[in-house]
Amino acid sequence: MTASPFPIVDKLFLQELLPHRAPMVMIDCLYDFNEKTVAAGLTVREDNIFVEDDILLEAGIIEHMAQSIALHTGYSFYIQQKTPPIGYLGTIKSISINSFPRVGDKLLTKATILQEFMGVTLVSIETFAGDEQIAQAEIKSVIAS
Amino acid sequence: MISEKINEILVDEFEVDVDLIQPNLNLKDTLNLDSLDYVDLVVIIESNFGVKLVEADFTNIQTFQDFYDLIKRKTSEN
Repeated sequence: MTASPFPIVDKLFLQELLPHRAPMVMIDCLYDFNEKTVAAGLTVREDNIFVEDDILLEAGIIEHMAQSIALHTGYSFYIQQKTPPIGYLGTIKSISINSFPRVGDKLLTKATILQEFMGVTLVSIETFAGDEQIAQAEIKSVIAS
Repeated sequence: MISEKINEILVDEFEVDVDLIQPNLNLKDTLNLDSLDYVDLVVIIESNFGVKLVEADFTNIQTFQDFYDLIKRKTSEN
């Protein structure tokens, strides 16, 4: 029986899975992964470029959500021993942000792939700070050909 | 009628006037579908009719009638 690799908090390894580089990296933990889902984390720090007045702004929440999807792609390619492709946020089909996390909050984002078609992936995604759901969205991501 | 049900969900999803949907008209042009929209089309068809569409299914789809025929064929195969 193989021990679970999760959670993964090695920053250098996580950066290998993402196309983003500091200070744009908005993921610091991979909690879980399977073919259709990913759970990613971020601790909101004062020096985060999307933090203003101790609040993570809307753009930061969206970026964290989008990078959670990229992390799913990156880890999927990693376990297949392939180089992760570049992906883009295609469109935000719907989003609601219920509250803004503060510095020190630990975010947990759960993303579920609803459908993949012609290189476009439709993902349902929720972000929590503790037990509180702070945001939910449906996002389409596109893999660069 | 399966075509009426399809029209109903297309109107709802893509926010077009139902009168614009005619069997002989081009599906992609009428609904103004771009590459990001097809995934929505696949999702709503799967959730409403229980059939899974794949890329190859769209190879010969030009008109709404082609699309109705595709869904009818797929549902009968289930």
